[in-house]
Amino acid sequence: MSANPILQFEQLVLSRGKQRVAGPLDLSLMAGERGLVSGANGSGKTTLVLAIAGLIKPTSGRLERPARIGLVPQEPDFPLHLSCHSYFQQLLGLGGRDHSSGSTTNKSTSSNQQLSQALQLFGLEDVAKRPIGELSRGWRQRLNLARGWLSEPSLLILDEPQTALDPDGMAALTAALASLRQTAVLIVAPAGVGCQNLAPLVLDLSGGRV
Amino acid sequence: MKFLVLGFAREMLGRWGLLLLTAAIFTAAQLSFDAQLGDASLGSYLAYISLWAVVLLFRCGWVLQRRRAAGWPLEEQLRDPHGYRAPLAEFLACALLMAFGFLAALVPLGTLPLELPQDDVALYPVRCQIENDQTWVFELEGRVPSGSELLLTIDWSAGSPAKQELPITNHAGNAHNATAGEIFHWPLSPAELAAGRVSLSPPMGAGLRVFQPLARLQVPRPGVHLLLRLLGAQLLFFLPLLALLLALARFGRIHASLAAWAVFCLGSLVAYRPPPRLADAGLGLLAKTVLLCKQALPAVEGLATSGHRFERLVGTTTLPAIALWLMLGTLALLLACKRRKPR
Amino acid sequence: MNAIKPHIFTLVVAIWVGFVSLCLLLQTFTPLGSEATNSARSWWTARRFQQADAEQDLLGLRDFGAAYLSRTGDGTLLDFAIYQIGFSASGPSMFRHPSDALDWALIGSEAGDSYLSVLPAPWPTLQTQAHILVERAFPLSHNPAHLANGLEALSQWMASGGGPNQASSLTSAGYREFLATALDDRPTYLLLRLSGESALESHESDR
Repeated sequence: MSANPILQFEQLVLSRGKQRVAGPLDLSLMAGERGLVSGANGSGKTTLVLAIAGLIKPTSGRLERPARIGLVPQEPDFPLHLSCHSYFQQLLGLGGRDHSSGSTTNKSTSSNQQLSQALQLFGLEDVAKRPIGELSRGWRQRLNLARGWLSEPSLLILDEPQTALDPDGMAALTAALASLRQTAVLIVAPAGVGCQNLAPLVLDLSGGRV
Repeated sequence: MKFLVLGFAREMLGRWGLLLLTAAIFTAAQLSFDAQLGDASLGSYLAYISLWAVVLLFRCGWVLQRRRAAGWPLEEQLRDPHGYRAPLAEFLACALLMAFGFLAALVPLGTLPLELPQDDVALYPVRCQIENDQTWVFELEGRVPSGSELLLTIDWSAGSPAKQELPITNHAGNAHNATAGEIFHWPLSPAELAAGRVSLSPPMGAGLRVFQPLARLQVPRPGVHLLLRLLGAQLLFFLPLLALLLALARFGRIHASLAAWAVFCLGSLVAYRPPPRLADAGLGLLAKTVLLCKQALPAVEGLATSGHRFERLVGTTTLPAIALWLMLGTLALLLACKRRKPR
Repeated sequence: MNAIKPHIFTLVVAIWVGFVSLCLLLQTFTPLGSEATNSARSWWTARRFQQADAEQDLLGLRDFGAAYLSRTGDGTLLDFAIYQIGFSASGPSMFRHPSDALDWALIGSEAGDSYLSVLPAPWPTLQTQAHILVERAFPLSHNPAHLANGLEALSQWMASGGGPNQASSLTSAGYREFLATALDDRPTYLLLRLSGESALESHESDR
């Protein structure tokens, strides 16, 4: 395990327009650690997720984040006409893993293994060949989680992952998170929705510090 | 990358794409070359096949927009640190599909019993100005393909019956003999081909007149064996347009279907060849603006030429114009691959 | 400001698309792919020409032939139409009233006149026109202008040697003979030449 934190922010302030949304915030996550960001609606949880993912700029403060980030958004978009299998294949083609070494065959084999692993871990094997548009909301949430997990990111951000998950889905999520030894996990959820079991470190946005 | 290219190509084709392409190619071959039904025109076949590229442009815009709605930009931002994989894959997929369609267009020519056109010539009326008895000026309306000739019917009836073979010269001093009772062939020099204008002088006092309504330009008409090269030229024309579409949709962040329309409009303008008379005539503001826009673009209309009069433009595109056009395409592709900073 | 830029760009592109689309609608220039439509339309015109031929619709022949010429630059259909209208339809074998026959001859000849400068290969049309005017129109109208125009057309045709594709040494030699003939005797020479051709043609067709 690396000694350096995977995700670290200090005195991080986030704004939307001229209005401050959250901060100052401090957090540090090492590989294999899991953190939970909780707070009431409108407390800036989603803004924080977007800032960590590099999709918006922080107003001030220091933010250190890894290059490879997996994001499980709260309201995911999917290409509904594609099958999970075909979609994941293309996502793996986008990169996100270290492709600097190894032959083409090795890369291809590794991609296939990763794809099978993701489908297996989130119980998607039976529906892998069906178009995503035909899947129920629960299945799509599993797909959403698998998509974030795919390609082994250094940091996995889950935005309200419990949404629409049945007990089997929650079990799959718990198992998947347990298997991530090299990945830091940041879960974002409103207070009191049952995600506390998933992450021991809690950042309360009203307090702003772990 | 392979999966990205294949995935995008599959989305482009949809469920019926290949079937429709096959049907379209075979129909085009029948309409163009069938012994009873066809109009025996290679240009016509080329026109039908080039529609494939136009359809792909619009389809590409549509698929890009659908991907945008399906959350691809977020995934690209998270997974591809450099941002070039997806645009390159999209470009490659479209380019390969275009090339595939063009290559598939060769299949019916080898498999169906068709009457394929061989090398031939095509004739075009030529505007002739008689500046005085000593100078005939012929306007050829822009660059002319190499190997072209001017065909003149000369009236000798006012001349001396004893002189039935006389030299006719151009302003550079080159001369060819004209014979009474035969069409006079004037092979165009490289300078005349480029200028699209020929100025000829009959011997002084010979009394020769040219029958103006019968002046014609003879252009070599490529045979079917040149189809692959002609389709290659079409590909060179359409690839920069494709790159521009990606640049507009990705770097410009505009609606991808609107980008496809914009690129289609630009392609139409580039492929358009305004008749030179348009420049002389008193034009409306609209036509003048079109002319100005057209002149600002590389003159590569010869690459996209098709239809029954396609031979008139084949081979008239200069190498610098092609290089400039491809450079614009490369620039557009680089822009498409350039990721803009988050807002 | 950053947030506004993309919208301005969309606006610029939309204006561009609107401008060019307007030009396309007003037919200031043609869109990409329009040649395919043109090819399909010309193919359809050729089918209608064949239908008009089968139905002996002579004016249809002329109109579809002319439409085919303007779409494709190919004048073979119009050439055929001019021959059918001016020569065949005005011939004795059609058993028409003489005034009808003269009308058809003149319609054919006028079609030849009006399309001569745009036909890609106008030389055979000149020969047809000479036959129409001299052998069909003049005997029916006794108008010397018809005879003169017919002989003028023939002299132009001979000056071309029959045209680049039908070049004939006989025609070329004939033109040189024509030039060597005295000015006053030239019309007679042309008339003899024309009747010789007709005799040769009818002999060929008898065989």
